[in-house]
Amino acid sequence: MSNIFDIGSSALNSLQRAISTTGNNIANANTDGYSRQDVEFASRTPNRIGGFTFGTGVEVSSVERAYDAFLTQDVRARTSSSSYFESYATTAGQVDNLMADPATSISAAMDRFFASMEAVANSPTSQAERQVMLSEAETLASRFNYVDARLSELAENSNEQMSVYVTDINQYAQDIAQLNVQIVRLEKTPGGSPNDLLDQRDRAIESLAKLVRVDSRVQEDGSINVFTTSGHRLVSQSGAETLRLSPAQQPDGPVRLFVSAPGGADTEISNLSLGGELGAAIDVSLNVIDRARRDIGLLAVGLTETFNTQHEAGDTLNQVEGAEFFTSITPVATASPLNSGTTIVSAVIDDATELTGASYQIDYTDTVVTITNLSTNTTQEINGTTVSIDGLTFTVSPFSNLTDGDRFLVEPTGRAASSMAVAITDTSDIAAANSGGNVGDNRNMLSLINLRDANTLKDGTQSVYDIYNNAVSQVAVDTRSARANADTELSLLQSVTDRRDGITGVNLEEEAANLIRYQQAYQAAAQIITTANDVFDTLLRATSR
Amino acid sequence: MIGRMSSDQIHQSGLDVILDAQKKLSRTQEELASGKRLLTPADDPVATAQIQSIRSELSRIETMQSNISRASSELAMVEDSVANVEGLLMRARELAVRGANDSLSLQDREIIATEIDALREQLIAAANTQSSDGDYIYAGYAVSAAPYTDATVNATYAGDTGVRAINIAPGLTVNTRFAGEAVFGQGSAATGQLNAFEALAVLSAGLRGNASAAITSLTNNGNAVTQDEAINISMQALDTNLETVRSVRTQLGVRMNRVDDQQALNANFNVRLQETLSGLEDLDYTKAITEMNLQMVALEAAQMAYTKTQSLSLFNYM
Repeated sequence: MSNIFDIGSSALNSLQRAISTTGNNIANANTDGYSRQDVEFASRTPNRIGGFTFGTGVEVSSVERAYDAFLTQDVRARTSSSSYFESYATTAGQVDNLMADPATSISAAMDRFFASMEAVANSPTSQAERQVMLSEAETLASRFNYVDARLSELAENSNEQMSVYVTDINQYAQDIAQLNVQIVRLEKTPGGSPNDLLDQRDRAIESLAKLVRVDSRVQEDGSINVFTTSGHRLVSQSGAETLRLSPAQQPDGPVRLFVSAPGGADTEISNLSLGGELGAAIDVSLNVIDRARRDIGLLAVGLTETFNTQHEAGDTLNQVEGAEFFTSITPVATASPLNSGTTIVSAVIDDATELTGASYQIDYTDTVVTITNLSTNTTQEINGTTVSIDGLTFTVSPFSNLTDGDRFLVEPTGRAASSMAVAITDTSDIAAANSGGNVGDNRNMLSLINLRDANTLKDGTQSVYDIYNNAVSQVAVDTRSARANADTELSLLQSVTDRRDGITGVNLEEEAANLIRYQQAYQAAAQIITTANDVFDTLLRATSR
Repeated sequence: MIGRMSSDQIHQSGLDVILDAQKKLSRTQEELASGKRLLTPADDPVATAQIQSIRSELSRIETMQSNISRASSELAMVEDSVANVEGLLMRARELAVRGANDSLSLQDREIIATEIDALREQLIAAANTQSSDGDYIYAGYAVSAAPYTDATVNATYAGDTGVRAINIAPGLTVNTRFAGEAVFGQGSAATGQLNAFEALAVLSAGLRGNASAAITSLTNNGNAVTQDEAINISMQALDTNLETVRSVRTQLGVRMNRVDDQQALNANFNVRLQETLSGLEDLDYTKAITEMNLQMVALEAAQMAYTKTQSLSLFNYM
C-alpha cells in the first residue's frame, strides 16, 4: 500500500522539479549566455516481490544544460575575429574621415601654394605676390601640423583604449580562475555538474575572446586553461596570469606588452597579432595611424628638403644666395623608458630623396647592436658607432654605456609633419632668381614650380602628390577591407551563434508546451495519491466493522 | 535554417532585419543630402585617388588659365610697344629718303634732322617703356632700372639678356618679352653694325653735314665721309633694324597664337576633367530615389512582420 503512495509522491516530486526547471528556463529566457536546462527522468530501482519485479516510481537522474562544445568554441573564435575587424574598421574609419575632411586636405593646400608661386614667377619683383606665397606656405605647413596632431590624438586614444582592454582582460582572467576553483569543488561532490557556473564561465571566456583571441582546454578536474594565440597562458590551474602594458615612449608611441604568472617574472609578448579588440587596437595603431603619420611625414620632409635645395640654389630679391625656405626637419629618436643604460641614439637625414618612410628600432642584445627597419622587418648589425642606410645616418653614443636589453626608436618621418614650418619671414628672401640673376629673373621660381610634378621622392619614383595620394588611398583601402571583413565576420558570427542558440537558447513555446505536459502529468500523479487514498479508505471501512 | 530557434533569436532576427533596413535607408538619405556618391574615401579608394588628382589638376588648369591671360596681356603690351618702335623707324626711313634728295636746301635738311633727333629721343623713351607694375620691359631681368641712357651717338644698355617666361601649361612656357638688344640691336662696338640709336645719330649728323669724330669712327674708320655716304649708311642700318623689329613682331604674333591655342586646349581639358569628376563622385539621383523608395517599403514590411510575429505565443491560449 505504501508503495502506491511512494510511487505517486516520487512522481509529484520529480514533476515539481521539472516544472521548476521549466520555470527557471522561462525566467532566464532573456539572460545572456544562459543554457536551457532539461530534467532527465529515470525509473527508480524496482522491488522484487514473490518472483515478480515491481517498479517503484520515478526520480530525477540529472539536470542537463543544452550545450555543444564545438559550437561554443566556434562562437568564441568568431567573436574574436568579428570584434577585431569591427574595432579595426571603426578606428581606421576615423583616420579615413580625417583624410576626407576638406579642412585637412594637404593636396588642396599644395595646389594653392604652387598657384601662389606662379604669381611670383609672373611678377618676381611684386612684394604683394611674394607675401601671398609666404602666407600660402604657412597655411600648407599648418595643415601638415593639424593632420599630424589629429593622428597623434587618435594614436593616444588607441593607447588609452589598449590599457582599458588590458585591465578588462585581467579582470576576466581572474573571474575565470575563481569560477575554476568553484567548479572543481562542485564537480567533486555527487549530484551532477554545476550548470549555472559553467554558463558563467563560458560567458566570461566569450567576453575575454571579444578582447583577445584565446584557446581553451578543459582539464579532467573540470577546470579550464586559457591561452592567447601567441601561446601565453592567461588562466591555468594555478590561477590567473597578469598582462601589463609598458608605458609608451611617448603617449602616442608604440606600446610593449608583458605577461606574468602570480609571483613570477615578466615575459614580453613579442608577437602582438593577438586578435580581438586589443589586437585590433595594436594593429590599427601600427598599420593605419602610424603608417599615415609616417607617409604624411615623409611628404613633409621630402617637400622641405627638395624645396630647400632648389631654393638655396637661387638668389633672393636682394641678390644674395637663398636660404632655407622651410625649416629643416630632424628625425626624432627616443630611448625606451625601460632602458637602464645612459646611451642615446641620434639620426640625421643625408638624402631625403632616399627616405622610405619607415621607422627604425635599435636593440642591444647579447653585446650585439642591431637596427631593424620596422616596415620591412629587416635587421642588420651595427658595427661601430654609426651606420648609414636609406638616406639616414644613425649614431649610437656613447657605445660603451649600452646595457643589455636597451631599445631605441628612430622616427625619421613619423613625427615630421608636426615640425613643418616656414623658415623665412621677409618676402625679399624668396629666391625667385637664378644664381647671379637680376631682380626680374624668375627662373628659379619656375624650377621650384617644376618640383610639383618631378619624381623627386622615394628614390626618384614618386612626386609629392603621389606620396599624398598614396597615403590617402592606403588608408581608404585598409578601411574598406576592414569594413568588408567586419561584415563577413559578423554574418559568420551570427550564423554560428544562431546554431548554438538553436541548441542552448530558451524557446518560450517549447517551455509552454513542457509546462502543459508536466502539469498534466502532475495532475495524473496527484490522481495516484487520491486513488491510493480511496483504496486505503475502502480497506479501512471493510475492516472497521 | 536549423529546426529549433530560441525566443531570443526570433526576436533578435526580426530586429536585425529592421536595423539593417534602417542603416541602408540612412546611407541613401545621406547620399541624397550631399549629392555625392562617395561619403568617405573608403567608399571607393580607387575613385578617391582619381578624384584627388583631378581636383588638383583642375586647380592647376585654373592657375594656367590665369597665367595665360597674364601672358596675353604682356604679349599685347609688348606688341603695342614694338609696333610703336616700328612706326618710329619707318618714319625715320621715310625722312632719310627725303633727306637724300640733292635738291633740298640746307634749311630743309636742318628741319628733317631736327625731326630725326626728336625721333631718336622718342625711340630711347620707347626702349625704356615700363609695364603697369613698373617693370622696364626691355631690360631683360634687370627690370627695376631704366635700361637705356642716351650717350650722344649710341644709347648705353644697362639691362641683361634675360627673357621673361610664363607657364601656360605644366612644363610648357612662353616667353613674353624681349631683351632690349634683341629689338634695338647691339650696336657697332659689338657687331660692327649700327643699332637703331646709332643709325638715327648718323642720319641726323649726315643731314647736317657735321659728322663728329664719334660718327666717322662708326662709318669709315675715322675718315671723313660725304653727306650722301652717311645718309646711305644710316638708311641701310635702318633697313636692317626694321627687319629685326618686324621679325620680333612676327615672333610675338606666333606666341599670341600659341597662347590662344593653349587656352582653348586647357578649356577643353577642363570640361573633360569636370565630366570625369562628376561621373566619379556625383550621385545618380534617379537611381538613388528609386532605391530609397524600395528601402522604405522594405523597412515598413520588416516592422510589420516583426509586430505580427511577436504577438504570437502559446501562452495566449493557456
